[in-house]
Amino acid sequence: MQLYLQFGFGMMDHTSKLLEAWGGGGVILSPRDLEETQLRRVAAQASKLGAEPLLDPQCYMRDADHERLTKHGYFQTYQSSSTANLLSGSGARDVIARLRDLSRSIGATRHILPGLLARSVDEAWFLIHEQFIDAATQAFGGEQLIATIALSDEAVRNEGQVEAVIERVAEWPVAGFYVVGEAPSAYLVEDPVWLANMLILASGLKLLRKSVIVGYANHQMLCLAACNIDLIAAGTWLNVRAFPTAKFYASEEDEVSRRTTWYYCPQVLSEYKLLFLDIALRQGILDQMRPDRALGSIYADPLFAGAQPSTVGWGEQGAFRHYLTCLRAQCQRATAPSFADAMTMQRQLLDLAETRLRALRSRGVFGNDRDFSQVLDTNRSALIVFDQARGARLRREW
Amino acid sequence: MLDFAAVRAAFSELTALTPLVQSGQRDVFRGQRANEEIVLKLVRVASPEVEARIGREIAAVAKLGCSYVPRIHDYGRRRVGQQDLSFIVEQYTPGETYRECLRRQPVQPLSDVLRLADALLNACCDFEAAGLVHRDIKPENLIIGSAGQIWIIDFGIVRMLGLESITPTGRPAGSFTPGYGAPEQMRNLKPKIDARADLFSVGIVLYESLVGTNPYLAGASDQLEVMRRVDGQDLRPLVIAGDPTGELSGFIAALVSRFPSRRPQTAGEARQWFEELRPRLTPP
Repeated sequence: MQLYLQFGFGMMDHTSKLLEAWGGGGVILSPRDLEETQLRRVAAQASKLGAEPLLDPQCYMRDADHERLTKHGYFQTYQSSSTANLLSGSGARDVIARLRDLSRSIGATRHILPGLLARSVDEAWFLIHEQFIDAATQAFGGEQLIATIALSDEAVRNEGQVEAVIERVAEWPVAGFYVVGEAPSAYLVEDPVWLANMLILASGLKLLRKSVIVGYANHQMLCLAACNIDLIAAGTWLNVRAFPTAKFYASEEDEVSRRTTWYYCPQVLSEYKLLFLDIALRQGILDQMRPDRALGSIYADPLFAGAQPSTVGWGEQGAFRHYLTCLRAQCQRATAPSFADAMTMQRQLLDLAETRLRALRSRGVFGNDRDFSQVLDTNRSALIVFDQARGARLRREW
Repeated sequence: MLDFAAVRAAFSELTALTPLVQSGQRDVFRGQRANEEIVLKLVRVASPEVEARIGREIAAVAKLGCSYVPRIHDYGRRRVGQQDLSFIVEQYTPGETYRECLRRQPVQPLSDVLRLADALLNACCDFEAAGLVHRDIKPENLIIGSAGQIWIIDFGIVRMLGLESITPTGRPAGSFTPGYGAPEQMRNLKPKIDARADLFSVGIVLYESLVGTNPYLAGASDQLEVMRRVDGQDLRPLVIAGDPTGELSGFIAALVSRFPSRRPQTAGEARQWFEELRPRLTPP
């Protein structure tokens, strides 16, 4: 499983630096955060660095009013098309025609199609997507199409709806799926039903022999490696590590006003404020929080150079790049040659994290609301339920 | 009640006819055609729906060529006394129903269950190739011959894929036997009804054979409760002596999954899966 960058607010420089350091990868571009010329520039940089640019049309909310998103021509066409026109196909053709021009202009060779967020999966929702696919099949010729499947948290929690999606999309003539699940919380998910169903959805799509991308992900979604999906995408701020619908509305502020620097400790899947790293230093256990060098991140080195971590001037730039570099390596490490191996790795990852978290917490080092202790059992439960639902098939069809 | 003499007169090519079953809609006779033992089924058509259903049953089975389904020698409509009746002349399959076997011995030996699984999966492959879904695989519709032959009977609610359905599509519940019919069949979700529905029923028969009871029917107060269980509960994974790796248990769990996407996607895939795991089983 690979990691792509989920482009979000303030990520231009991070994107070029990270893709350069990684020697490739990919980025899912966000029209909500980039004007058309910026989209082309970032995509061109990515391509030059050997990375794949993809464009997420972000048509999730019909009534989105985020200023930058609604300035894009294809989005204006989308919003001005009546639902009846989208359902009859003419509206979908108009949207796709404009989106094709944009997607091709950024040099994408695979094209993510528009997808509405389904509050509840119903026939109209399927039909609109099928109209987009029909229109795109004509407009893009033989180029690869990726259908968006965006589900609300209620839809994800509904096992029947998740299965209805898998059954229906099995017939869609696309090369892959871009899955977006609205998170039931701002970041780490405590709901095992939601997480189990995301695993069931992603694996069900993968069993259709299509490529599967799960967007707006974070390190909790490393468990998706047990589905053998192709990649997840994550970014810097929380609104690109989980999927909040509010970000597509004008009232949503970008996260600059809520800045706190968090250090991601990959071996415990948790993030810490620097003041807790100071505690770790005082307790003589800071070294236990040092990332494995093999993960390839040098961005957090100043924290472990001997000085008090909160005083070394380590900021969000290092935090973001460290997080994403570690997560990318963890995605690759979580990739396994068989379902049994993948599940074993997931269980070991959680068990090891739990042991180490207990040790850190016993010495006063806490991750606040980003401490993975609170969701360890969520992941375990979800993996068990997922194994029961799909394990038998995945053991054969990896 | 049919006049037996009229039956003999109408089917003069058949000899030694003796009544086996007589009911309001259906009369069944045993007899001989040339030197082969046969069964003659006569059906009074109560409605166009029933007539269409019978027509499908006959046409589907006649073209099957499945060694687990009795051969059809002749079929059509014939005047019997004062009545016009549909008839089928088919191979006689002596034996008892699998239900009777289960009554005598609720938990079947693993080796026998594997033989049954092999037959049912092969039959499902034949059904799939012919584009039909039996939709009513259950112990009552399986005949076990004295020499161990296995036959699947009663194609009364067969669904021919690609043909327009007989039962109304808008009906909330389809034709099914509670406790054996797949959830999608129960809820009449016709586009989803394919070979995977039969695989569900096969899985339930195998499950029942290994634990001694149908897990959905056991202790259920009524059919609604059975339907609720089928729709909402995953079955407890089996622990099977002679299945050291748990692969057979996993296979059966996949067959009886509530959702079609969790089952093998074709009968061919199911048979291949079974053939792969079978050498690793060690029946006591």
